[in-house]
Amino acid sequence: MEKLFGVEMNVLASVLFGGVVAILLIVLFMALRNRILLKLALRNIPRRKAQTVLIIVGLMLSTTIIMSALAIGDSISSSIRTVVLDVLGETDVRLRSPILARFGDDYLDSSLVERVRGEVAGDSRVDGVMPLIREQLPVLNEATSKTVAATFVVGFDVDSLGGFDGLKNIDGNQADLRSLQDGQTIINRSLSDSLDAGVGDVVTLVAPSGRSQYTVVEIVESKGIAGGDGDTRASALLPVSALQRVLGREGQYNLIEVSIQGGLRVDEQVSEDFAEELQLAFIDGDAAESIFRAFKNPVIVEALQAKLDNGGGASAGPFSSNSLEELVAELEKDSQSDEFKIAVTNTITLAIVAGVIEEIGDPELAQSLLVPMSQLVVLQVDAIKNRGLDLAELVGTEITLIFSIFGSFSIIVGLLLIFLVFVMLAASRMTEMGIIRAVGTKRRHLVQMFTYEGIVYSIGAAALGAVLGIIASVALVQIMAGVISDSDDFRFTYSVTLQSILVAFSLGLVITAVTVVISAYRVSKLNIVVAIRGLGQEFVSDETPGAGRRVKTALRWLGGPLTYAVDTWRLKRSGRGIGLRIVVFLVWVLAVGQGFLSLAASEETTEVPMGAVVGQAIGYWLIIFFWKLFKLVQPWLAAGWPLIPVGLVLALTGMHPEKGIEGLASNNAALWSVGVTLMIIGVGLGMRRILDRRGYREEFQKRVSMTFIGLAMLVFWGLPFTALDGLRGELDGGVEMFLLSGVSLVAAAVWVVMHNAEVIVWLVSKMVGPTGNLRPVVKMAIAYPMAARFRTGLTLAMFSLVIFTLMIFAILSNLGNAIEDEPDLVSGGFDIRAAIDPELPIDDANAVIAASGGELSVSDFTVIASQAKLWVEAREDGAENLTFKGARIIASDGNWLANNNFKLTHWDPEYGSTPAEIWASVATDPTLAVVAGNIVVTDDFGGGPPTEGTTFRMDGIDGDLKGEIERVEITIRPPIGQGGAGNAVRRTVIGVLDQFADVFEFGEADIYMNPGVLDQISNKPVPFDSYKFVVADPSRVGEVTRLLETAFIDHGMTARATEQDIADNQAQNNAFNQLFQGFMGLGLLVGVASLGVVSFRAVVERRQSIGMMRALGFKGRMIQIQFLMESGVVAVLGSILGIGLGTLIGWNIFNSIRADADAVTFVIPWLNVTIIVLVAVVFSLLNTLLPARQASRITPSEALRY
Amino acid sequence: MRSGPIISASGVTKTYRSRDVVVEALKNVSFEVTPGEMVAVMGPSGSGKTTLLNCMSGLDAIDSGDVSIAGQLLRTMSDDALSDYRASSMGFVFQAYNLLPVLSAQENVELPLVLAGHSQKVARARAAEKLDLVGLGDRTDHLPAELSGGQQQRVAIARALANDPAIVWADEPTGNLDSTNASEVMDLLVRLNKEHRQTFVLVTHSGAVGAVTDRIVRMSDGEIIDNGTARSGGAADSASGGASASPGAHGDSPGNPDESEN
Repeated sequence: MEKLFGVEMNVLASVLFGGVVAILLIVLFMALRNRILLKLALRNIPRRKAQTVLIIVGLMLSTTIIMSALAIGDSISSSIRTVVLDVLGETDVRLRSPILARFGDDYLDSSLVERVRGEVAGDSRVDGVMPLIREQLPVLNEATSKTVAATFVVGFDVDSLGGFDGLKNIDGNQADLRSLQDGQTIINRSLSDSLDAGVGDVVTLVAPSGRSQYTVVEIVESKGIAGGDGDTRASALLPVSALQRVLGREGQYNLIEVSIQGGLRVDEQVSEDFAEELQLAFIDGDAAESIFRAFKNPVIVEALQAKLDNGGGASAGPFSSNSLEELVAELEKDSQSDEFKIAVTNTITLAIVAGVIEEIGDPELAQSLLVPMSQLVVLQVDAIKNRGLDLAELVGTEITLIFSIFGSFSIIVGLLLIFLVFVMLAASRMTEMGIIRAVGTKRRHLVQMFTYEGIVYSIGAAALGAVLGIIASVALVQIMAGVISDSDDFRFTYSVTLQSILVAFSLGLVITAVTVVISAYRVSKLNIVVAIRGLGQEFVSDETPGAGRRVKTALRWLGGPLTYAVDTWRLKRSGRGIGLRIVVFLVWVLAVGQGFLSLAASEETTEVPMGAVVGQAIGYWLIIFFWKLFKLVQPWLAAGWPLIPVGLVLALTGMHPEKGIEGLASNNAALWSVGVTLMIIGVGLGMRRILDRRGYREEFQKRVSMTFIGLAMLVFWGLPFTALDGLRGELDGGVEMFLLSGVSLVAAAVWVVMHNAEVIVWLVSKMVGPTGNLRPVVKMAIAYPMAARFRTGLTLAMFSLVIFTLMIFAILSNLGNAIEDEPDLVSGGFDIRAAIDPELPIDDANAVIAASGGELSVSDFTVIASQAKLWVEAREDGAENLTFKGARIIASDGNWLANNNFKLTHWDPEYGSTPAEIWASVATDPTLAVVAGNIVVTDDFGGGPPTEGTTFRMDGIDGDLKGEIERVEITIRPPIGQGGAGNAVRRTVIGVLDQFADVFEFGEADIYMNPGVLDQISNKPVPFDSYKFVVADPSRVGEVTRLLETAFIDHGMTARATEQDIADNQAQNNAFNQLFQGFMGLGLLVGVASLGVVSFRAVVERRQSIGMMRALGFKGRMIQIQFLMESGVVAVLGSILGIGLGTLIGWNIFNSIRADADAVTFVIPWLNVTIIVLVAVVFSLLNTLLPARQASRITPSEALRY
Repeated sequence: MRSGPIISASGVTKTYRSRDVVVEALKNVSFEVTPGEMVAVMGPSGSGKTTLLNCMSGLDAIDSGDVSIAGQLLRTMSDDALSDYRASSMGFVFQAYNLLPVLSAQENVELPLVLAGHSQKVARARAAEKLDLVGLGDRTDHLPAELSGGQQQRVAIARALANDPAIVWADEPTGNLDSTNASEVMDLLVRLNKEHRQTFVLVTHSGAVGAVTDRIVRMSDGEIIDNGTARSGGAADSASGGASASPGAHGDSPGNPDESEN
C-alpha cells in the first residue's frame, strides 16, 4: 500500500520510525545521566526469565494485530495490482472513441491512428503505439465441441509491436507475434484450457458474417494484449487485417494503446502528464470554446457553485472521480485554458453539468450545448493503468481500514493487557519499590525506572509482534488463497512492504511505550508505608491541591515554554544540573516560534518531518496546558453534578440542527452520545452524594449509584439506533460510534457486575456450595478476585470486549443468508440467465434448440423467455427533481411477464394486488411499468436523494412505506444522440420490485415494461439479447447451462446458472469472512493471554499464601482447582457479557439493515458462538493450567520461607 | 501423659542443594514428643530448627530416616492423606503470621473448619469461639491488614486451634512481636496447652519462650545436642539465653488475653 489514513506510507514510516529513534535516544540520554536507575531497571529483566517472556508476549499483541492488518492490505493491493499489470501488460494509456459517440459506432478510422502517431512522434516518453480491434466473440473447438462464448478476439497490427513485445509463451520463451499469418491464431493459456485446444488444432470464430477457421500456432500467457479483462481472460490473437475482414471493418480499429517507456510499471506522473497532453490534442478547440462561453452564463456558474457546495464535487474513487471543482474554478477566468478543457472532458463531470443545466429549465440553452458537447472530444484518452493501480491501492487501503477498525477493539484490549501487566509487575515489587522510595528517590525516578524497563520490553515486543504479525497474516492469506483458488483470474498472493513493517513496528512500539509510561505513572503513586508493609492495597491518589493553587498552576502553563524557562532558571539558582532542560527549552522555543511564524505566513509546510516537529512542540504545550486545565476542574467534576451541565452542552452540540438549538447543534452522534453518558455519570455521582448525606453506608452508596450508572449506560447504548431519532434527529456517525458503543457497553456491563459481585458470589457458592469438598476452594476462588476488583474488572472487560467483537462479527457475517434460503428472490424462478451478442440475434430460440442435435431438446425447458435492454433517460413527473437521468428499459416478452415470480414491495391496486396480476397488466398494457427496488429512495441506504448522482431515482414512492401506491408517472426518452425529442413516452409505474430481485442484472435503474415500448422510443430495432430459462429437471441446470452455450454458439450466448452465481457469491463472502474471523481470532489470543498473565502473576504473588493454605490442609489439587476456577469464572462471565452485548448490538445493526432490505434474516449463529466460547474458555483454562499446576506443586515449607 | 510418643523421629536426614552448595540441614536427628507436652526447639540461626519443624510436621519431605505422628509413618502417607491429616489434626503458627490477606479474621479461622468438612454454621460458631478465646471477639470482620502484629498472631493462633488439633506447630510465634505482646501470646499458648492438653512444638530463639515450656531441645549445626528433660531447666535456660527480657516478670503476670492492644 502507498497510503494509510490518507498519509503516504513513506512519510508515515519515516516519521514514525524517526520518532521512535528520537524517543529511544532521549530515553537513553536520560538513562545514562542516572545510571543507578537504569541498573535497577535492567537487572529486573533477566531475574525472572519466564516472567520476562510472559510480559513480552503480553506487550506484543497490539503490534501483531497492526502488522497483520497492514500485511493483509498489502497482499490484497499487490494481488489486484498483479491482475492489473497482467491484463494491461505494457499498455499505459488507452485511446478510444468518446463515450457520447459510443452509442453508435465505436470504431476509429486509420486516419485517427495516424494522427495519434503524429502527435507522439519524437516524444521520448513513448515507446509504442498499437492500434487494435478487441471484440468479445464466440470461439469454439469443433474437435472437442467446447466453446467460449465471449472470448476476447484481438486483432493487432504486426508492424506496431514495438513496445508491446514482452508477451511470453507458456514455455517461458518470447512469443513470436510478428510471424503470425492469415488463417493462424495465437491463443492464451486460459482459452487453450477452456477449449482443450493445443498448437496445431483448429479453432472456429463465430462472427456476424459467419464462421471462420484458424490454426493455433502458439499458446501464450494470459497477459498484456492476450490478457482479456478482469472477468474474462480467454483471448485469441489474430492479425488485425484478418479480423477487420471478418468483421467488415477494413481499415478500422476500436482501440489505440500507448506504451510509455519503462516496462510494466512506469512513473505514474509521467503517464498522467502524457495522457493529459495527448487528451488536449484530441479536444475540438471550437467546441470547447462554445461550451466555455455557454458555461460562463452566471446562472450556470451559480447553479454549479451550489451543486459544489452541496457536495456534488465529491469524488469517490479512481473510476468515479469528477472534476467539478476544477471546472467551476476555471469558469472564473476570462478565456478557456487547458485545465478547463481537461475538466470538461471528464464524463462524470459532464453528466453532472448536463443535469444542472436541465434543472435550470432553459431548453434553448440545453439545445445550444448539444452539438458542441457531442463534438468536444475526438478521442478519449485514458491513463488506464494508473487508474487500475489506484484501484488496487484503494481496495487494499479500504480493507486495511476495515481490519483496523475491527482490530482496534483487540488493540484496546492489548493495551489494557499491557497496563495490567505493569500494574501487576509493580504490585509484585511493592516492597522493593517502597524501600527505593524510602531511601530517598523521587516519584519520577520510579516512573523513569519503570519506563526504562518497559521500553526494553517494548522493543522486544514490537519486534516479536511484527514477526508474529507477518506469520499470522501469511497464514490468513494462505487460507484465503486456498478458498478462492478455483478461479484462475485472480490469485491471492502474500505481499508485505518494508514500509508496513516499519509502520507496524514503530506504531506498536510507540503505543506500547506510551502505555508503559502511563502505567509507570500510575504505579509510582504508591504509599511508601503501605508498600513496605506489603499490604498490597491498590494505589493511593495524590492529595488534591487547593483551588487557588490549581488556578495558579493552570495560568502558569499558559506560558508554555516561558514557564519552563522560569522553572529552569530557578533550578539553576538552586545549583542543580540543568543542561538537559536548557536543550529541551531551546528546541521547544525554536519549534514553537517557527510554528507561529509559518502559521502567520499561512504557508503550507511542505517538509513533513519539520512540520511534525513543530506540531509536536505546540501540541506538547497545548497538552500540558489542557491537562493542567483539566486538573483545575477535575475535583469539581468528580463531585458529579457539574458533569450534568457539561454533558448537556455536549449532547445539545451533537443534536441534529432540525431538533436542536440552531447554531449549536452540529449533527454529531459521538458528541451526543458522550454528552448523554456524562449526564448519566453525573446523575449517578449526584445520587451517591445524596445517599451520603442521608447517612447510608459507603458500600451501599457505591453500589446503588454505580449500578445506576452502569444500567443507565447499558440502556442508553443498547437502544435501537433509531429509537431516539424523534428526540435528537437522525445523526451522522462514523466508525468511531461503533468503537464508542462497544467500549461503553462493555464498560457499563462490567461496572454493574463488579459492583454487584456479591450476587454472583452468592450464586456461585449456592451452585457449588453444597458439595462439601469444594467449599473451601470456592471460598478462596472468590475471595481473591473480589479482593482485587480493579484487576478482576479489567480482565473481565478485556475478555468481554473480545467475545463481544467476535459475536457481532459472527452475527453480521451470517446476515443475508435469505438469498441462499430463497434463491427465487434473486432469480424470479428462472434457473438460467443468458446473454447473446446483439449483432447475432436469435429469431426462434426453440428452433435453434431443436436444431442443435441430440443432447438438448425443447422439452428440457418449461419456460424460455426473452428480454431486450435499452439505455434511456427518465424522470419522474411532477416531482421536485426534473432532470432526466440514466435508466435502462428491460422490455420483456409475454413468457417472462407471465412466469416470473419476483416479489413486489409496492403495487397500484387499480392494476392488481398480487405480483401476477400486476405483471399481467404490464403484459397487456404498454403504458405501464414496474421499476426496480433501487430506483425508489429509502431512508437508510439507496444512494441518497434523487437530485444527486447521474442515475434515475424516484421521490414519489416512499421506499420505507411498503404497500399500495397510486398513479405515479414517469417520462422516458432516448439518450442524447439516439432518436428525436419527440420519442419521449409517459408511463405509469404500477409496481416496485423487491430489493434483491434480478440483482445479477447489475442494473442501477431498471424499468420493466412490455416490449411495445421499444418501437416508440428507438429509431432502430432493438434486438432481444437476454434469455431466461426454467429447466424442467432442476438437477440438470449445470449441464443444460453448458449445452445452451454450445447450442447458441452462433449467437455468442453466455449462460449462467443463478444458483451457481449465488453459491459463488456466498463462497467469496465466506472467504472474506474467514479471513476476517481469523484476524479477529488474534483478538481472542489477547483475551486468552490476559487470563494467563493474571493467573501466572497470581501464582507468583501468592506464593506464601499458597504455602499457608497447604499447611492448613489444602491439597495440591484443590489449589489447582482454585486457580482454574478463578479464570473460569472470568472467562464464563466475560463470555456471557460478550455474547449478550454482541447479540444486542448485532440485533440493532440487523434492524437498521432490514429497514432497507426485507429479505435479511436474523440468525444467532449458535455453532459459531459455541465454537468461539469453547475456544475462548478452553484455551483460557489451558493457559491457566500451567500456572495452576505450578501453584499446586509448591512445597509448603519452601513457600513459607520468604 | 507418659504413654507412647505422639511424635517420633529417628535418624532423620535432610539436605538442601542449590547449585553447587550442599547444606546438611538435619544430620541423623532422632527426637520424640509425648502427648500434651510443650516442647521448645532452640538453637542459633541456621541450626536446622525450622527444618526440623517442617520435616516433623510433614510440610517438607525428608531424605532418610523415619517420622511418625500418632503411630503413623509420614513417608507412607500420600500428599493428599497428609493434607487431610494437617486439616484435621495439626495447627500451624508462623513468625510472619501468614494470614490470608483477602479473608477477614473470622474467615481465616473458619477456613480450616470448612476444610475439615464442618458446615458453614458450625464453622462460624467455632471460629467466633476461638477468636473469643484469643481475645479478638470484637475484631472478627477486620482484614489482616487492619490488625496489629500481635492481633494478627492471635488470629493465627485461633486459626491453628480451630479444629482442636492434637499438635500445634509454632515457628518463632513471638519473633515479630514486642516483649509485652510476646508474653501475652506465650501466656495464651501455655494456658491453651494446660487447658486442652494439646501438644505444642515451638521453634524459638527466645529464652523467655523456652522458659515457660515443659522441655527444651537444643540444636546446633543440624544436630540435636540436647534432648532436654521435662521441666528441667527453666532457670538455667533463661541464664544461658542471656539476652532475653525479664522472663520472670511475665511468668508472673496475669496474662490477660482480652486486653486489647493500642
